[in-house]
Amino acid sequence: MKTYTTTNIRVPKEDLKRLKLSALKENKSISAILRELIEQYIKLSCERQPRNPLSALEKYAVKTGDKKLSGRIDKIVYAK
Amino acid sequence: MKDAVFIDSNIFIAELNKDDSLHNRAKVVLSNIEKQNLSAITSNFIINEVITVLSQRVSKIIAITFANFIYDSDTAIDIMTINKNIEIKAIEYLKNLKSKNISFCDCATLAVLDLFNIDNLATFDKDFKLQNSSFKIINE
Repeated sequence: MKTYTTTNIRVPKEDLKRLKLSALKENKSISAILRELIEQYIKLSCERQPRNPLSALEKYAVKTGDKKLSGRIDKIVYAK
Repeated sequence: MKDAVFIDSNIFIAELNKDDSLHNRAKVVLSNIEKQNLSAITSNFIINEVITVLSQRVSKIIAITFANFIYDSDTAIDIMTINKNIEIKAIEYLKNLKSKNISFCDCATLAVLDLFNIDNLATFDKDFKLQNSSFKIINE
């Protein structure tokens, strides 16, 4: 079970106003939103164990005959 | 986050398409990210684009292979879920940017970079260069 502690933070007035509004709309407490953001931030910034490198994607690369596919993503997805 | 890089959909597509004119550059980008020990981040919006393009223009098998690879918890990438707060920020970008070439997915990417102070964006999309932002573009 998690143990909680209390801290004070200084935030711009306008941000707090908008945060309160978002919290109200989402039916969440400000504390819950901040805890969620802190958790997400820690997850991103914490030291990671060695993992499968992204360069391993290369083994799945295939020939398509299309030289410009990476430049046509918006056209394909959004029919632009 | 100076040690983090957000990866755009065109990097994944160029990497997975051997015939793509940017294939070798995508390989270099991903290799440099590893060499520099940067934390790779992308979003569920980006994954949606990549899976759609692969499925429609390459093959469903490759699309599913990519999905399995990227969602594998051992793969060196974190996937941000675009939630309502990020979307609200993205709408601000949509309102303020003049270019019509910018998609809502691009706006969500800008919102993630902004909200999480991510300093690097790996992309071949030249439209991002026009944005007067603080992040650095990595494209080679």
